[in-house]
Amino acid sequence: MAKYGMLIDLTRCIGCHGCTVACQARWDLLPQVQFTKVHRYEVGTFPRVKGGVVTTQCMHCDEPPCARVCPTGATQKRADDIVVVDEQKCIGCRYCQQACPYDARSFNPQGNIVQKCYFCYDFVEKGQQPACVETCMAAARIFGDLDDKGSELSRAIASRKAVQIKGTSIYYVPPRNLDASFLPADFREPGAVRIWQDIVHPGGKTVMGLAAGAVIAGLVINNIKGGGKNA
Amino acid sequence: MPEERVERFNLFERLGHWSHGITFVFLLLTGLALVFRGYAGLLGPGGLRLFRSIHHAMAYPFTFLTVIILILGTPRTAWQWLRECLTWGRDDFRFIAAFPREFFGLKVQLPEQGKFNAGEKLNSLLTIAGSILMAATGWILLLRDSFSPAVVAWALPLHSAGALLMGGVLLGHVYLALGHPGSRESINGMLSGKVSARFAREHHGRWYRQLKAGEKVVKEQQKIA
Ligand code: HEM
Repeated sequence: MAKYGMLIDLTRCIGCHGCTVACQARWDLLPQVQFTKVHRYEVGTFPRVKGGVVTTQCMHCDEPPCARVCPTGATQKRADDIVVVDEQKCIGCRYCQQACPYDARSFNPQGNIVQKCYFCYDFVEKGQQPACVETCMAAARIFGDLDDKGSELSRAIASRKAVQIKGTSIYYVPPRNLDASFLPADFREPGAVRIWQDIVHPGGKTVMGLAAGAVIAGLVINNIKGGGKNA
Repeated sequence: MPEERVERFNLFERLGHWSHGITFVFLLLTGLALVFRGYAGLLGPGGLRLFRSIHHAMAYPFTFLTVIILILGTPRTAWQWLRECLTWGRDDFRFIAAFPREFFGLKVQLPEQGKFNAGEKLNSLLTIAGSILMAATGWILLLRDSFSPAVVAWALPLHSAGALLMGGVLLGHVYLALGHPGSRESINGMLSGKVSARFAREHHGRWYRQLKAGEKVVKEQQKIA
């Protein structure tokens, strides 16, 4: 099974927004829903100003918190590492939007669902490329199989000294003008998600279970002692 | 001869209690569908969407209705209730310490209590604090676009924690009101408004004496008039 990933070479990206728009066209998105976004940065003070562009999107994390918090299982990580949303199953609770450390999810108020970059999985299955890769004039994006050492992606990662955003499927070649601190941070599960899923849910279920157990024990003891009649 | 009964809660106190209780149970049952995965699977996406709508609709009466009923309908007794809940004496702590035995139907001597026993006071305080927490975090979640992402992110675990803890408290509350042979006469206070004089004497002795003393004063005043 392939492990899909993407390299974004920011030394080539000119910030034309082509990826944003091609993706919106392919997925028929609302204008305010953008699966991939372009951010411009300026560093220094006039007249010594340098600029750079960073694109962001769903990072297809190794352990996606969005999938963890999804109450319906609509968000799932597939065996090929692509994180998908089953839009039929999504109830629009927006838990995933909060949980995402990369702010990579958008709410679609018309369908009352949350959407994000799917790595164009159904096109990829047919051997095609994601829309953003296909459209990029500067060939700044390379999509492929990270497990296949001979893939164009794996070779480019090695030869261009790309930086992996740890815990995710995304690699960047940082822009010449900007250091790596302008890139998305390495993956860390948000504290609120950890406390909610690891402590509050199991702890709270235990409290309810203990309360139910106490009530049942009380009912049993009262029945044995008094036949359940009023004292 | 029919058993003598004494008035415990007026109509507005009862309406306030049930508007809170019914909306709470709806909110709990619809909210828990998002916590227990098996329950969510049973409902399916369509059922969950419906449950969400019910949850969001119940938020309005839960937040406002009980407060309005108590303030407009029976401000004086609501105030007395709050004051009593905040007044704790030695007997109250002794009651709490002894109560687990009573809960499980074991023999125990409980100290004499007023209109609200220490357990009811504790339940009232937990309910008030918990409801404020649930309403505050709930509205943050509903109006999430007006709050910073960090606030919304922490509202969720707080909302879940409040729901699950109060759900546990509710189970005990329902058991004492309906199932426990010693205390289940109290449900009549919340239904018809009256409880048996015997129950009032045995479970709320201090309140019962005050009630009788009050009646005597009234009767004597009538005699003089
Ligand atoms: C005592 C009353 C309440 C209980 C027991 C309750 C319970 C719950 C529970 C268990 C959840 C799921 C949390 C999770 O998945 O971990 C939830 C979610 C939620 N609750 Fe409540 N809740 C209450 C009151 C409210 C109120 C007053 C509001 C609104 C003002 C509200 C709005 C929400 C929202 C917006 C969600 C997020 C999921 C969704 O949008 O459906 N809740 N609630």
